[in-house]
Amino acid sequence: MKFAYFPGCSARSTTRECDHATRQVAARLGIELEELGTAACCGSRDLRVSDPFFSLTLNARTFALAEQVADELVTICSTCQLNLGQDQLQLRRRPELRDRINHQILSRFGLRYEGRLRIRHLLWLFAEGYDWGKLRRHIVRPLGHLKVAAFPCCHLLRPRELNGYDNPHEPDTLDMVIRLFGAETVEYGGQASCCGFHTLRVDERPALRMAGGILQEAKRAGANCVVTASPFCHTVFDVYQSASEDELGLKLGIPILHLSQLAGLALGITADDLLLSRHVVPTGSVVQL
Amino acid sequence: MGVNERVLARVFRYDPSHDAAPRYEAYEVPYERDMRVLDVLDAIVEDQGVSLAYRWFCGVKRCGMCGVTVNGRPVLACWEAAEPEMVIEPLANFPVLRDLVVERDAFDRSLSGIEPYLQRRTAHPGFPEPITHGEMEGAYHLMDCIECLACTAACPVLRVGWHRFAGPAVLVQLAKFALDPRDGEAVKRASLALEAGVYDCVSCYACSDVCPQEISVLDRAIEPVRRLAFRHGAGGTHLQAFRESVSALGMIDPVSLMMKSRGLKSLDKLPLALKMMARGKLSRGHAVSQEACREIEVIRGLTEGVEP
Repeated sequence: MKFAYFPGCSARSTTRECDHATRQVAARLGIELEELGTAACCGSRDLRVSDPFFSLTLNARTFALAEQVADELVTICSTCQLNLGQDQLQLRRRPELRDRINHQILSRFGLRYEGRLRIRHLLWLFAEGYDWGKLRRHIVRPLGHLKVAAFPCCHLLRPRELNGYDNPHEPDTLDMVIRLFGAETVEYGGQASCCGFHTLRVDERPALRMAGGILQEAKRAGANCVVTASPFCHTVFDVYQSASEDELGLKLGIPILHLSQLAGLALGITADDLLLSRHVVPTGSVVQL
Repeated sequence: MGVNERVLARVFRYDPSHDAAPRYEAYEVPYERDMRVLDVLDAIVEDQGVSLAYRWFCGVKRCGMCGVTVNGRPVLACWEAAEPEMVIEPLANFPVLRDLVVERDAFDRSLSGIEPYLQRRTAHPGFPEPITHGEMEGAYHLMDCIECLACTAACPVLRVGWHRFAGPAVLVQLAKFALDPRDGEAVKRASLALEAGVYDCVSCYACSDVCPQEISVLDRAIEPVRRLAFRHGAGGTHLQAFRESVSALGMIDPVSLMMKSRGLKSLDKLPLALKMMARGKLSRGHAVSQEACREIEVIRGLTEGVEP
């Protein structure tokens, strides 16, 4: 199984552990990932507002680069997944726009986006693109002691036209995959909420309240860690957790894991190799439990 | 559901002038074919003699008055099928007047604040004024809005009490005028958008998801208005910083992005930055190659000022 791989800016810098864990898990499971090293940022929600045609063309370029490598592109960030998915949909609905970008721009660099690429988040790959029997045979460390609050991220749930997996109000795909890797999941109220990441650079306080509220619900439900499917949510929950505590006047202290790190633990990869030490909130309790 | 079955509705009851706290009361109503939430409420009042307050007018998804929360989701009572078991509550993010009736004053005030009418300095010479479908596309979609406030009730930013953000419903109305080619007050609309907190939206799509009129609130209203604000220099330093980072490196350098976005305010993040540094989290990512950067620069030049 070979895939083009688009880690995104966050997993290439602040949350490098997410990229690192993904590569190790993929290697164990025989999933070949070829990183698109020359692909640009997906534009997040910013570039598509400030410079929509630039953003769209950069993503068309990414699609063209990916098609040179494989039929399918794997993302590990839900906002990358959303942006790439939306731009792909736009180019599918407006073939004349795709032709224009191909002829006027991409052809200068010997690139062409044919339109056959499939784009899937790692979570969705686990949910339906990988043989579960084979996956179970790779699990060497039981994680039954872990009570996980799954946090899939809005951008994997909405808009519905880009999400074929979950009811956005009662998501369960991430829970299912976490259980597949052997851990337990808890039901809690914050699962379909938003971590607030996208206001962090404008106004921090709503994000701190939103994230803190979610973590509080996770703790109340008895979770001993939160697993995220997106590096952005991870950053708010982990790096900003003490700021959330200050904003809400409460104590949280709950470790936050990337999906790939949880998978890695189940597959027997060590905490050091999964860079669990790179988190701000200590993760020792999860590993020692 | 079938006839002879019963609908169990747990309904939020609260009269702030008498009750110390809200309570939930359970009502059983015989199911009728094609029963809607509104029919359930009617049955509770008319057949059981309960003095329950709820608001509705047209009953056919036009007036936008009957918004309620059913099993956690904001819906129109007149348009939502009854479920066997329902928790029915008032719309979230609004003060409760009584039972299921909320106070819409905050929305009405914000609405008058955005000057919700077309404004132009000079009349179009002659009649009729020719406008193409293409020119009207942005505003036309938003004319479907019935101001039911379901989007605002779903907004997580308001849920945490962040009222610098006026909420999605107001921005839909602002966008309806700002995107109308006949409106001649782009600069004013841009500063109104800034005042309405257009950059405080978290892009979570909760509003788009619940709109009974299927308006893509984020894609068709909030982000276009944010673009208008940015292009007229009403806020958006963080958007400019993002664009510069992608243009220069092909990707985001999180540290410089945060510093350029927040300016001097970044200094208060020093303790956090040190904590991140200690965990190796501040390493600048591997940027794309020089050659790729040149390609990206060429693309930037070719796409400048072009609309997709």
